[in-house]
Amino acid sequence: MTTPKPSRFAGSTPLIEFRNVTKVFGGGVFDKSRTIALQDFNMTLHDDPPMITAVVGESGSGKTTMARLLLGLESPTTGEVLYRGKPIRGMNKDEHRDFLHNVQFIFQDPFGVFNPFYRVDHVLLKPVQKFKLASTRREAYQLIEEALEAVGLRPEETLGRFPHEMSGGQRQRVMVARALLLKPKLIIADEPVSMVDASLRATILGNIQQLNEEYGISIIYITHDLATGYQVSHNMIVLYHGAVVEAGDVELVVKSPQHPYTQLLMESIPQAVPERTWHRHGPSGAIIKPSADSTACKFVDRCPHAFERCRHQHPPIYQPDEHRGIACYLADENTTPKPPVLQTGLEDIFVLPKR
Amino acid sequence: MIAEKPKVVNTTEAVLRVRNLTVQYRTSRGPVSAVNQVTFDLYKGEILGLVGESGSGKTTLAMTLVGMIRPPGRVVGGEILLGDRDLAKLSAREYKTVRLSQIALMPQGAMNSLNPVTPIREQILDGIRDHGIVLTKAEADRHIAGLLERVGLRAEVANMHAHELSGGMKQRVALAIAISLQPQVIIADEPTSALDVVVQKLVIETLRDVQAELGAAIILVGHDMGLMAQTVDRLGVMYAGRLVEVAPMHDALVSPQHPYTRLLIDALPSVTEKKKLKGIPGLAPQLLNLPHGCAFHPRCPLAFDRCQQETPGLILSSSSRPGLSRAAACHLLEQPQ
Repeated sequence: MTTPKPSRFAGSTPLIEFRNVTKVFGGGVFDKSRTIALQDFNMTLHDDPPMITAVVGESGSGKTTMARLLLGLESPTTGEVLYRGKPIRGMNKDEHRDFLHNVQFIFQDPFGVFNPFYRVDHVLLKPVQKFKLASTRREAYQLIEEALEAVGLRPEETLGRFPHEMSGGQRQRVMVARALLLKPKLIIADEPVSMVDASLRATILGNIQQLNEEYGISIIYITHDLATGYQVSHNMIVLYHGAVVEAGDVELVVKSPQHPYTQLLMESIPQAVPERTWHRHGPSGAIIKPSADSTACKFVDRCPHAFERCRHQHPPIYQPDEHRGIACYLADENTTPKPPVLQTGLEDIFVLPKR
Repeated sequence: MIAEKPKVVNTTEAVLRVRNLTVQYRTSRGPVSAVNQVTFDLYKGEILGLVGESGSGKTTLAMTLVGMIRPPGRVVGGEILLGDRDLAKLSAREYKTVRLSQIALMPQGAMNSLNPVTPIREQILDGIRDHGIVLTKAEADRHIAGLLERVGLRAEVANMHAHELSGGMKQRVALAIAISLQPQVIIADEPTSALDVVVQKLVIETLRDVQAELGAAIILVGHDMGLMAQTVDRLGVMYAGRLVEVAPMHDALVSPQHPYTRLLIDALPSVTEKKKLKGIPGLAPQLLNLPHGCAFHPRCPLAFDRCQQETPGLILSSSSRPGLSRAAACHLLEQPQ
């Protein structure tokens, strides 16, 4: 495998495309506070077949910046973010309407989304009216009830209540129902369960999986939690300070991580097993923020394996396995024959869900 | 490795003994018991974990132990015995002499508990001065440098302000303040809940190091079963204000006696095996309107008739650790097998 294969998806317009996106916050070259939130990020997402893709990273990894770019809340410093081939920040009215209908968002905080003065019905009725999903009030309620039942809420116990009368988990499920109501093509879920108790976490993640399997909705699941990312997703992208470090089939990335950073993350997860598995970190545990001006690998100061090559240039994404990409020179040095450098977007290393 | 040398927990030497502690909040619809008849011992040099869902009373218990429960909450019964002294009987003024010097709090979210406009040095000295200890500048410098070093921070951090520090560093400063007067007991209330996993591990390592050096006993309050499994010596599980199981951590994982403990362990997503995610059915009960009998029975897969009628008390049994007992509040333990 030395010549890259043409993309599996050649010819079809992707649903979402990040094309060489870099997002820089802060002032000029000499500004010390300048932060590269996302660097040369390429990702293409097709909606056929619909997949769940986890974007995993710690705070400062760029995962929320990625979501904000997707929603059009930020514009890229360089590069383009496209929805069905059109830049998200440059759509005409009809295209924008289509975008708002087909791309839904589930936020981390289910408390902030509700207006405390309105009953829960309000947040569910609004999108039905806005996108004219129903012609009568009765029809509207029928749709709402179906959506609530799909996420395991009883309509008679949910409708008519005020947000403060529900638990955080219930509120978050109402948000999942709201997203479902619009039958979107894509749902971006940004840490949807980080504020919910462990006992409810599983139920909500189950709902999200169900949206993918039963309703054919593509999902981008943004999280800091590798374990839930592994459980719900088909593929995973691990970010570190704005750059992809490892990506591909969750079975490969999580179970046999190859990038030193993914390995560090994995061994830091506390597991509920009788044998203690936590070992003391080497120096890589210490947090060092890479300089914005450095061209070196972003992880070089924490990496136990760093060598000369790593200090000059951030590595490209190598493809040591069919379904794994890794931005690390180790893949190039230690594998024979040498792995190809990924030329197309990440979608070509992704596994497709089993039907 | 964190747990290289197994610590000898001296079962006869309890630093803190909590007996039948009940804490109520007064509400417009009557009093609710956020902490209900809680009894346990904390042994010298151990880390005791306290887990539970939100609303289980774990934070109220932590706040009560350091005398920081405020109206409408108040202690209505029970004892908090630190040595021979019953802390539950102390006035707010008397508690001030005990807090920090004998029992200290490492709060949840240190970012909000540090003063943004005072340098770290002053914030550490504040508590020390409050206890009437007068230090010369040189003594103070040495003491602060020693404390910061102990929690893995450079001495220069003393002159910095909170906004210059990362989340993990702030949490370490909170630990430095907590140990500034070498207390016997440290209550750590979800000290890592706002941190990334890698930093969380570093902070927990620091906590364990500090404890090994000082020999203090620690109560670690949290909701993450995984973190507990990797950190604590014994585990206490709280449900609706009651302590429903206390056992050595290993026993709790391998053979939990309370069905709720089992469900909490199973609810943790695995990274080694893809399986159907399991939640705990139902919702945590409202304290104002607790189910009759065992508060957990409506959600319990193993509930039977007796559970609806009678509230189970803690039933003692022997654990895998010699000289140490375990306990759980479940009627199943009295059923013939």
